[in-house]
Amino acid sequence: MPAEAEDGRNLNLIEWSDADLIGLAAEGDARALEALYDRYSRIVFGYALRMLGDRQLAEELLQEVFFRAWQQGGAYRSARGTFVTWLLSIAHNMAIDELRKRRRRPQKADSDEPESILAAVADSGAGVEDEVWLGAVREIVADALQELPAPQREAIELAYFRGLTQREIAEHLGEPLGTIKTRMRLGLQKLRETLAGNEVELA
Amino acid sequence: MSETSNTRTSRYRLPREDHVDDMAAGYALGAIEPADQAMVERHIAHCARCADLVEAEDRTVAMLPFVAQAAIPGPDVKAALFARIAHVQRTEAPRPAVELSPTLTIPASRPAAFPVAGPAATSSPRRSLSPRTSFQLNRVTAMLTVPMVLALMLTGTWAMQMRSQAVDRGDQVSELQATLANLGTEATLYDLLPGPDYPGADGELLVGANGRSGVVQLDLDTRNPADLYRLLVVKDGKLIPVSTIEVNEDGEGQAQFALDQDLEDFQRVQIDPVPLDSDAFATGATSSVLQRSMDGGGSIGAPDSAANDIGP
Repeated sequence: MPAEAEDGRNLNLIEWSDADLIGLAAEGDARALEALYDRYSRIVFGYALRMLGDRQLAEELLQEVFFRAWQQGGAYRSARGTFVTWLLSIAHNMAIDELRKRRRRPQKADSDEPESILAAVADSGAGVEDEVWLGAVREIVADALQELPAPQREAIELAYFRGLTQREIAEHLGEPLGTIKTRMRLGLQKLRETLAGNEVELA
Repeated sequence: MSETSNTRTSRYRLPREDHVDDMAAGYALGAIEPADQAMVERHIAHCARCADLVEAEDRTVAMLPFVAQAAIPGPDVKAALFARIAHVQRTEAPRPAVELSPTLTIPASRPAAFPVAGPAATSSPRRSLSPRTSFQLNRVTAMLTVPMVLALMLTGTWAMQMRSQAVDRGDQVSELQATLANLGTEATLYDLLPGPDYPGADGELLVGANGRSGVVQLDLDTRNPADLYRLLVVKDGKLIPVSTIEVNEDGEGQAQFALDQDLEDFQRVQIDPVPLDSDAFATGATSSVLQRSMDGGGSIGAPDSAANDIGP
C-alpha cells in the first residue's frame, strides 16, 4: 500500500485537482493514484460491471484501468476533457475489446449478453448511492437516451455498449447500412442537443 | 507577406462530397471499419470543419458511460493494484523528476514536471516575458534552475523515461538533449502566440546564450494534425525558413534551429504548416499556427502592443 505521511495524513491529496494528481502519479507517486482511485473507482467499476456483466472480470478491468492510468498519466491533457472521462474512455475501450474477444470465442450454451445497460439504469437496488453530481449526470444522460426514437437509441447502444460496427448492426437488424449510419448521426445529434440544453458537459 | 486574416485561407478545403459528415457519428462511437477510421483521421487532419464536427461527436459520446450506476468493488482490487505498482517500482528504473519524452518538456513551460510539495499549476500559462530575461520559473520549479537541470543531465544522474513513441525517436531525442545541454546557462524562453485559426496551439522557443540557436517546441492540441510544420523568421518582409518540425499524433513536436544572426534582429518568428505546394509558401497563403513579433521587444500578452498583433 502507498506510504503515508509520518502523521498518517494523506498529505491533503484529496484536496488536489485530478490534473495535479495524475501529473504526480505520472512521476511515480502512488499516493496520488490512490487518491484518484478512491475518487473514481466506483464509477469505473460500475461501468465495467454493466458492460461485462461479470463481477470478477469487471474488477480485473478496474485494476487494469488504473494501472494504465498510472503508466500513461503523462498523456492526459486537461484541455481535451476531464480526467474522469479520460478514465472512462480507457475503461470503455478495454471493455469493448473484451466483448469482441468474447464474441470470437466459442460461446457456452448458458452464456448471455450482459443486460442492456439502459435497462439496468432503472435498477437502483444493486448499486450504491451516487455522489450528488454523478447521480444528476446519470439521470440526465439516461433521460436523454430514453428520449431518442427507439431505432436511434438501439443503433447507438449496439455500437457503443456492445462494440458492434455499423455493418454488423445492419446485418443484425436486417437494415441497410445507410439507414444505420443515418440513425447514429441523427441520434448523436439529438443527444448532443439535449445534453447541451441541460448544460451537461464533462468531456 | 500578405495575409487575409479575416478569411480562413486553407490550402486544404476539400470538395463537399469529401467531407465526413456521414461518418463522424460512427467514428465517434467506434463503429466504423479500420479503413474508414483511417480515412476519417486523414481527412480531419486537414479539414477544420470536420475536425470540429468529430470533436463535438466525441464529447457527446464521452457522456454515455455516465449512464451506468456506480458500484463498490471488492477491497482486494485496490490492494492488488498497489501491490502491482509497488512491484513495478521496485523492479524498474526510477522515473525522473522531469519526464523527458519526445515532447521535450522544458521545465519553465511545464510547471508540473518537477516534484512538488504542494499543488502544481495545472495550466501552461502564457507569461509575459521580456525577451532578454532569464528563465522565469514558477513557484513550483523555483527550487531548480536551468544550470542545475543541465548539470543533472550532463552528469548522467538524470534517468530518462522513454515512452513507446520515444523508442522510435531515441536518436532524435538524444540529439535534442545534447543541443539543450549546449545552450548554456542563460537560455531565454520566448512564448509564441497562437494564430487565429489555431486557438489551442501552444509553443515556445528556447534560445541559448548566443541568441541564435536553440530548440523550438510546439503543442498543437489538435487531433491528427498535419505531419510537418516549419519554423520561419521574417526579415525585411521576407519569409526565411529555418527548421522543419515533425509532430506526433498528439500534435506535439520539437526541433533544433540555428540562425546566422540574433533572433531579436528579425521582425517576426512564426510556425506554419508545411504547404503542399511551394506557391502557397511563397505567397504566404497558409495561416500561421504560432507567431511572435520581435520588433521592439517588449512582453507578450500585452493586447494593445502593436508589436504583438497577429495579422498582416
